[in-house]
Amino acid sequence: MLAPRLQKAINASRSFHLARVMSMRGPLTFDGWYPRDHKPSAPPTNEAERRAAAVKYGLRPEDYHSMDKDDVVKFAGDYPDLGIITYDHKDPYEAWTDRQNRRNWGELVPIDMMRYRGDRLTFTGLEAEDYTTWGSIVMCLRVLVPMALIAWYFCNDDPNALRWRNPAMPKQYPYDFYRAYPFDDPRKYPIVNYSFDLE
Amino acid sequence: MGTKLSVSLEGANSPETAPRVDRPPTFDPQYGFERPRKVREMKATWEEMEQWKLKPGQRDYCAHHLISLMKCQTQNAPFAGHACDGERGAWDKCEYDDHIMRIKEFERERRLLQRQARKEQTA
Repeated sequence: MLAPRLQKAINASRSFHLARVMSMRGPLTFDGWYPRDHKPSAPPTNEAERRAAAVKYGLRPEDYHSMDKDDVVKFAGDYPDLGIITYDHKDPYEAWTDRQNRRNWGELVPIDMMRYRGDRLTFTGLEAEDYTTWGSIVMCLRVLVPMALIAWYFCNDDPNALRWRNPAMPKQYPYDFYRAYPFDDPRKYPIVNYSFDLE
Repeated sequence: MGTKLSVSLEGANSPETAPRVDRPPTFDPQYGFERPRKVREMKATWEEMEQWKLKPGQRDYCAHHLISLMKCQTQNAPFAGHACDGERGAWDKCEYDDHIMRIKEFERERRLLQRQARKEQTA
């Protein structure tokens, strides 16, 4: 006995509808949100258009400065030029909506915002004040000097230097291999060693 | 416990009475014994060691145990497994005893050096 759903699938003349799959293609969409409302339009040419663009981006008309048309990297229609606003220009003690990036909800984003994030460039020069020639030299030396001291200590071939040593004499061999090295026969240089057993 | 540390510190702080571990004992090997010590006997012959291609470091006083172990392993090849445990144990025991003897030699050398220093001080 087959389940009713399986029975239905078998009876259906077409189990695969292409239109169902094709309708799933295309951009991600949200109800009530249209890209055309957020797309920059053409740059303003007269005062009325300039005021309208300022209103569109939530700026006062005197704060609205249109982007230089020849700046092909940043130019995007009527999107305003907000100047350079870096992470460090913003007050760290303000109650930001997003404290990590120091941004408020709905705040207008400079078009080159990604270049001036908190973990990217800053133009305040505060970190440049921390740099000194001797500071960086000391930073290298505090690694290199201990390495040199450790290397000197472990390369010290003074037999009486402080180092780990085992309380054991060298291993005894019946032939003097060192003396015969490299081409001589060790059998010509036998060594007599004594055990601790007495005769 | 602590032997290695005390030996290391002694070697650094009083090098005159600490044995040098990179050379054989410096005193007469028979000194201070009631009867003469036995000469260590090399049981493996040179021809055997050549036949089994032993390296110079393996041609010590335990070479005959090593040769019997290798012989057993070739006889039971390729499934030697635990078949040669007896031979292996004998070889390990021989090497262990050899190391114990080296430690005894060290201690003898150390005590003789200290004794010599004492005698020079009183003289």
